[in-house]
Amino acid sequence: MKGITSLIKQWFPAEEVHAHCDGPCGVYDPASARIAAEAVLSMTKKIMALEGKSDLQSQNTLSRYIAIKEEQAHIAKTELLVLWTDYFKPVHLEAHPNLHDTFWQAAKLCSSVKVEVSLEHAQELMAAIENIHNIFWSTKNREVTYYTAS
Amino acid sequence: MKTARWLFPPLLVVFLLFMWGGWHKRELVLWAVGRRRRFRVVENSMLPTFREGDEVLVAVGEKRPFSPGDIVIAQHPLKEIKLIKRVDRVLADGRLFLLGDNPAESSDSRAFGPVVQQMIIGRVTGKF
Repeated sequence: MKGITSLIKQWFPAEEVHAHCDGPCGVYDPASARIAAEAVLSMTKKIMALEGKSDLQSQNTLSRYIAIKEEQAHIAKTELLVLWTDYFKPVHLEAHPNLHDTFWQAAKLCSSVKVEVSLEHAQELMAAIENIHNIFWSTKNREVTYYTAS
Repeated sequence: MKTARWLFPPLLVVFLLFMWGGWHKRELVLWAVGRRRRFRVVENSMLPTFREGDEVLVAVGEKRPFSPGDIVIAQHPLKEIKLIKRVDRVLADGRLFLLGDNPAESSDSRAFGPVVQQMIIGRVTGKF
């Protein structure tokens, strides 16, 4: 009997049904947002250290730091939005009722640190991402220690 | 009508074979007479119940209502593909909340919401 059915399977393949999962399944990690936010924090510090210097080299360096800060702030925001809209599902809201506000505030901080030179907001963004890290891994029932690269 | 009586013994034999043949053979007979449709599973959201390449038999046009625990074939509400998912619960309005057996790798009602009964193609009765 097994032989016959396997021959049927081989010769007359059945129509496909999808045990479906969108996108690169399960490959989400708040670490990508954290790395970008760390770059923003670092650039903010470096920009502040250049204050008062007016030589050409410093001006050149300053504009490079600004460009990197804005780029990384945008990346951090995009990574957070992907996590928020693609990974998190309505069921997660039951355990984390503040989820939407947490992401909204974190995304707003990304906008702030892009526009401003604010050490305070850059550190707040890092704290927000640490919070999201903890929420994220708790939904997967995994203990992943938060760390920073710098 | 009286002349058709000679059909009874062979029909009885077929019927008895059908009843005694075991569940799997019975399903194959139902498939042979068009009461079951075959589908081949791709992707991983129904692990460990079904894995990629498994073929399932599906009862089409059944009258009985769906209940939690049933595995069903459904039209994806947003895409041109058919899905295999498990009925998690039946809502008061009759819509079905579908989940994959492998929730970490499943796009289901958590993403696209409950599904109306008209989107269900049939109930999975077992492996082919």
